[in-house]
Amino acid sequence: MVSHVTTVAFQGIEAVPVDVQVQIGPGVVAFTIVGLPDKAVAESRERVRSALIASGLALPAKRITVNLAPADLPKEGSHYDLPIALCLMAAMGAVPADQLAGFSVLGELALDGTITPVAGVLPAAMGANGAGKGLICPAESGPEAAWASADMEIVAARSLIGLANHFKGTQVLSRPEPKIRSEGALLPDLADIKGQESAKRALEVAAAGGHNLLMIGPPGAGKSMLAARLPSLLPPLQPRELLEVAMINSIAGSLSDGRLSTARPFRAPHHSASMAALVGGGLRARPGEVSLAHNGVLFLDELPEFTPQVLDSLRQPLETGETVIARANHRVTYPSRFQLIAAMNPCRCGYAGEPGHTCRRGTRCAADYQARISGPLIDRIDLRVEVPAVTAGDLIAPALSEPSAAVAERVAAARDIQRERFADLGLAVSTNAQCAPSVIERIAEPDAGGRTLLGEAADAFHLSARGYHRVLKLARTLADLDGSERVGRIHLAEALSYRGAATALASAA
Amino acid sequence: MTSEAKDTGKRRAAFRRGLSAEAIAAMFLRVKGYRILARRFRSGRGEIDLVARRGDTVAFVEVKARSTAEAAIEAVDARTRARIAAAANAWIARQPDDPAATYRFDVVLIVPGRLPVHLVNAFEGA
Repeated sequence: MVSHVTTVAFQGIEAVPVDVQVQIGPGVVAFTIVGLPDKAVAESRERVRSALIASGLALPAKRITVNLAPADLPKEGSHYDLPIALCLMAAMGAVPADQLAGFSVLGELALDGTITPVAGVLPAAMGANGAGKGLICPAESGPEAAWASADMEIVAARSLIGLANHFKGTQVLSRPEPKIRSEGALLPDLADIKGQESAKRALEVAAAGGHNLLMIGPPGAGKSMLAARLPSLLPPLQPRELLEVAMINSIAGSLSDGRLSTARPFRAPHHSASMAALVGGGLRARPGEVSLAHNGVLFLDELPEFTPQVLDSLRQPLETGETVIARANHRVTYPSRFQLIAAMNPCRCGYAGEPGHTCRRGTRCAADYQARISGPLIDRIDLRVEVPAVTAGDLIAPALSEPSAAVAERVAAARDIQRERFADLGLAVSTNAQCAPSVIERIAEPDAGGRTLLGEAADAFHLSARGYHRVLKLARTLADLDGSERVGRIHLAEALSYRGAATALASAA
Repeated sequence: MTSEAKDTGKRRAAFRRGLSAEAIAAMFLRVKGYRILARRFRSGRGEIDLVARRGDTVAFVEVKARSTAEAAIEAVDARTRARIAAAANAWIARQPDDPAATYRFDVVLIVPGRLPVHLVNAFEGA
């Protein structure tokens, strides 16, 4: 007699169905799990045994074999406890087997029979819904699963006994409700920053079009402060984006309480980050910072302090919007369409270019420091602004800065224009920065004055093909912020000026 | 073995106590409906006190006589289990094939002045 229960294995954010089979038969009494289990899965034997005893069921003194099929797919994680326990209970006749047939099951067991939350419930729920099945998951992950579909059946149980009672019909569990995390903490406000008007403008443009931004300035100029205020300018996540972000967070196990948040992710890894931490990888090919920043912001403070290889690993995700992690037994794709915001000092001592300062190593100081960032990476950054030290005059002057809310309104308006435009064209992108080159040539066609300017600039700045398109994208965003239909000379001029600071950087390198 | 047990007289006494404990355990299992297939089965790598059968279940039984139940349970340590499991494999190999049989390892505790305690499936031998 063999009983079956469906569960999942994760490959990236995809949930691959896995069939749990349990046979209770003759032979030397033993409890074995086969089907490429890793350590956490093999240990589930002891948890399942204890949880069943705590629930008043003893394992039969028979040979029990658990198979996780397909047998050649590695099974990782602690979420196999519950499907194995349920399958055993079905084989023992403690739970009707036919009622489990319509469900996909995942959850971890505590020794006392309670079901503890696991990572990846949302992708599992989406997978189950796609296969026309319901989902059995831990109670705490229930709200997360409820996001997958409004009408799929979800049983979120607190313990094995609760689950058995639910199927017996003595105490039926209600379907969990999807929950949104309330934004309790106030975001830092742009009004806190005195002066730095050009940098604020650049920040607004970056927020409006989802462009990458590099801020170069001496220590204490307010680069990190500016970056920390970007989330307050960004519009909330769209429903589709929300789900993508939640799927990655679910796999990474960072959804607290199963609540989803509409705030855009803002990730600021320290510059000691390894390549696996940034791009993804490690033991289970887990998502890295670039994927956790999907549909949000990746802020790299002290850019040249990052290992050059790590920085260059960002080039491919920046271009394609996804990361392919290939390992010996994994080949996983994570979405990673993020906005890169970087800050750096102009040189090692930090003050190159400041009036009255001469580096001890002369011009080499700035050149060597900036050369740590490769040309191809710089080429992918649309906006490069210099953030000079704040003057005493700016600090003393009464604060007249715009609050974040006012800027966020303009950003939201510009984003609405973009979204409508791309929806009309039937494209899946939502910001100018994500738009394909062929499309940008069509939608950002400059007027006559603009075209001559662009032609001259392309020669003078030695714009690469990518650089050319990036200038067009930036100009399109500037025009959107203006609310103007066509891209004018003035927009192109501003866009080119943001790229200009970069040319200086490239030539210094 | 403790140092006193090396004394021949005491050894003999322990052996006799063991034999009588096995006789009690065998009687007890018979009352519970088991048929005793073998007593003091020895192979090169280990020995089994009793092999008992009820229905399709074959139980390899280790009998332990001590003054308290705790001491009796503690006496079945990992080395003893390994010896019993090795002997069980040898015993199974000498029987005709029986695909329906379930083989398990039991312990019967004999404590003076109490009924024997039968621990079903006391450990896994495989």
